[in-house]
Amino acid sequence: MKYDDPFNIVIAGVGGQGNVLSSRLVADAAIAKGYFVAIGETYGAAQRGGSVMSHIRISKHDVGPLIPQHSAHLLLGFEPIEALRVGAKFLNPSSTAIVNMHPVYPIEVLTGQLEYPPINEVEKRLRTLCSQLYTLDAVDLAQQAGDPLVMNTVMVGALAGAHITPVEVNVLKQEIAKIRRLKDVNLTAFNLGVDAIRKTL
Amino acid sequence: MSNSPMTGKTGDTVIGLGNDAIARGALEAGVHFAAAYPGTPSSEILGNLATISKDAGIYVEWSVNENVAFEPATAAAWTGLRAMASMKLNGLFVILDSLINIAYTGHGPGGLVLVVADDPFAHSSTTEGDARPLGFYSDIVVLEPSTHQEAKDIIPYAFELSEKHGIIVMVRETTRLAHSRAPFKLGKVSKTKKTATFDYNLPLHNLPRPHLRHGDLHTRLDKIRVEEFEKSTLNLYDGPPKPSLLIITSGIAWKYVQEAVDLLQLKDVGILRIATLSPLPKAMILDRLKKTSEVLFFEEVDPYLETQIRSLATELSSNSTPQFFGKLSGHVPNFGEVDINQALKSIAALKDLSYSAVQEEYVNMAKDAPNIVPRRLLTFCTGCPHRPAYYSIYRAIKRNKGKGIVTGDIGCYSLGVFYHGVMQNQHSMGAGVGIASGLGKLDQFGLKDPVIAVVGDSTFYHACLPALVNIIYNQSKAIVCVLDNNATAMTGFQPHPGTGLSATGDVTSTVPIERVLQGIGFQSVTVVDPFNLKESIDTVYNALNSGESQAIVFRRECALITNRQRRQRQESIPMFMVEVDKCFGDKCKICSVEFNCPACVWDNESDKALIETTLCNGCGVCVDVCPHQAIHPVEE
Repeated sequence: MKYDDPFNIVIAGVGGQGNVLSSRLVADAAIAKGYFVAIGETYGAAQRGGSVMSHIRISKHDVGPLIPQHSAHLLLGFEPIEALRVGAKFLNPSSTAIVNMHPVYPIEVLTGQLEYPPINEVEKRLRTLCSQLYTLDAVDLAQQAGDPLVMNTVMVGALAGAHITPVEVNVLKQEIAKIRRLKDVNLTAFNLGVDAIRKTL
Repeated sequence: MSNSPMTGKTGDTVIGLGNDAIARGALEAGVHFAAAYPGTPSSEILGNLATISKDAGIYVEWSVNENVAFEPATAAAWTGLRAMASMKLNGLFVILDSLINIAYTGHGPGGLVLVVADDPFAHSSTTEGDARPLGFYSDIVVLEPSTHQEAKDIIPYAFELSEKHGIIVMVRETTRLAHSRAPFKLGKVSKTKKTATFDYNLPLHNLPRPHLRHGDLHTRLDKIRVEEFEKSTLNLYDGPPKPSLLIITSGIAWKYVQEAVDLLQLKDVGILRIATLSPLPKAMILDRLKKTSEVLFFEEVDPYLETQIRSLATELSSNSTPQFFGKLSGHVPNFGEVDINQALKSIAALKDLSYSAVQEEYVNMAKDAPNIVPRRLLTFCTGCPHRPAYYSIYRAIKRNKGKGIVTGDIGCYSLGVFYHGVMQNQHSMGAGVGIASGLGKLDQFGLKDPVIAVVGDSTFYHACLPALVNIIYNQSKAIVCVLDNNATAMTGFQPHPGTGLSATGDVTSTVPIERVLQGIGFQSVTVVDPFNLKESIDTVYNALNSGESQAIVFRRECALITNRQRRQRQESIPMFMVEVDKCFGDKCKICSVEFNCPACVWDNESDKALIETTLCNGCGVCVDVCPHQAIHPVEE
């Protein structure tokens, strides 16, 4: 199958959700298949509950670390409003979005100063921005796998299950198998993510 | 996962950060001595070198601040070793006096490389800036790589240049290179054994005539320009011999320009990427200027190349001077970072094109789509000891009828500005104590509000000692609160003089904070545990009106470190829960709104507080925060 070059994946989430680890897993899988991969990220204050975004660019050539506006092929949303915040900048009418619909409330929502939008409205707006939207509760699936910490691995599984990136399921699975911490939990989480998308195809 | 950049073999291709590439480059250059103070986006450089220092025989230290990172590195270079100091841009500001002095003197027979990491857009800083003009100003060499491979390969070259010409070499990078990942090929690790020798005859001072040394420095720089940079293969040109538009750029901005020119499908554009930024290869640049009629400068943050080259162009005759576009003409914004979108915009504008990946209708829809999305303010991690420390200060000030000015500076505790606005000012390292020293002397002009300086443990050693002495010596009424979480946390949990561990994880001497405060002369130095809420509030309240020089040390380890250790020991994190019947619901809300912990969420169905167990880090302070004893530990 022919893929656009570069193939652009953006991961949007909240600091501490495992954004960085997921981008590395996908990148390592792409490199194993012979691609050049650039990952653009910002961190520092990200751990402290701020918005985080990773740009993954899979190419045959040396590319820069940032995806141009409205040029992502795939959005992985680790959190609903982060998916919408970032999706509005990077999605286009032919993109796919895979979004975990489990909210992480900003601190000002917790204090009642701001409101978290109704989740069905977030979903509705995401649908208008892309060609295909998959939704799942990755936190729930991670808990089924054995630890809410592996939500990010569920999402990598979902990415694999959607079959739209140059990286196949078995190559990604090999990278997951290299994780030493919570090894079995991670593999289960990955498979649950793959199935969650396969079920809707 | 792919091989590690630091331990991989010659010829391996690894994927790593720009900072990993630089650290590997230092290893390949045979660096002997590396010193740094943590600062985003530079910290990984020294962090990486620390992991292999013993095997590689390199001396690696986290220094207390950038001055005492740069000066020891200089000392090592004086004895013939290869030394490197790395820092964020603000560190360059700190060392400027030392740097310029030492630039005049020279660094002896060894090599001295300074890596400075800028943060355009200030992703993790309180200002954004540009090291390139400062390097030029300081009369040192400035190099800038654009790719990960170059970031690695440029370090051995920087050392060679430094040793050959006796000039400090700065290697500049920005966040988007430092913190992005890309593949690069590893080279051979140099294993040069070196003996440090001190040459007693080396003139290591600028007196009696510093101005002559200044002149001599200019002569040496010009020699480098002629011998090394005019023909350097590091400066790359791609495009037709006589382009209609010449784009001049440096650093990672080069990647954006390349991609933009490609997406716009422009054939008549030339791209000149300059890596030898000071001294500039003037003759080569003038030659390029003569071959075009339009020049676009695409760089960040300051119009450095733009102003230097515009000035240089005065040597051209008027009919061979091209038109210049850039930050000075308004074609590129003069603040913030540049990126691929700005490159597309600026270049398309000059070529009278409009570029968009999508139709206008989509753009308009996408612009409005996120207007229901609330912002995400930064806050302390759940379980962070700074939250109860600030909460205690907040409650004590409230008890004191709202009187209490809180000054501060840089670290995780900077987030106090977002915590009920408790922290009033937030500036550079140590500024909080300095400002408090001043405010504490204004009672003769009628300002009687108590003053509290909040400072972190690492910042305490880094920048505060002179200000603390000033408070005692000039008898300022400021109260000093040290938030000691036993780490330089914000930058990645690096050790410091209070932690008892060195960069390489070895046990080392400590400099206890309370002993320093006592030694300086604070009459009252109280150490409290911020998790002990009542004691903390009372201690701060008593200090507010005590009249004597007070210091309070809030001591409790960073929650993330504690929990990492718990996980390693396979201990469970204590859990807490709300007893719904005892919770006063929205007649109270103190735990979520006032204490403001992200794990104290509101259950909209029951309209009661709820501890979100997936977020909770087990500090248990909420138990004491709740005025109705509705929160309890969950029994195992």
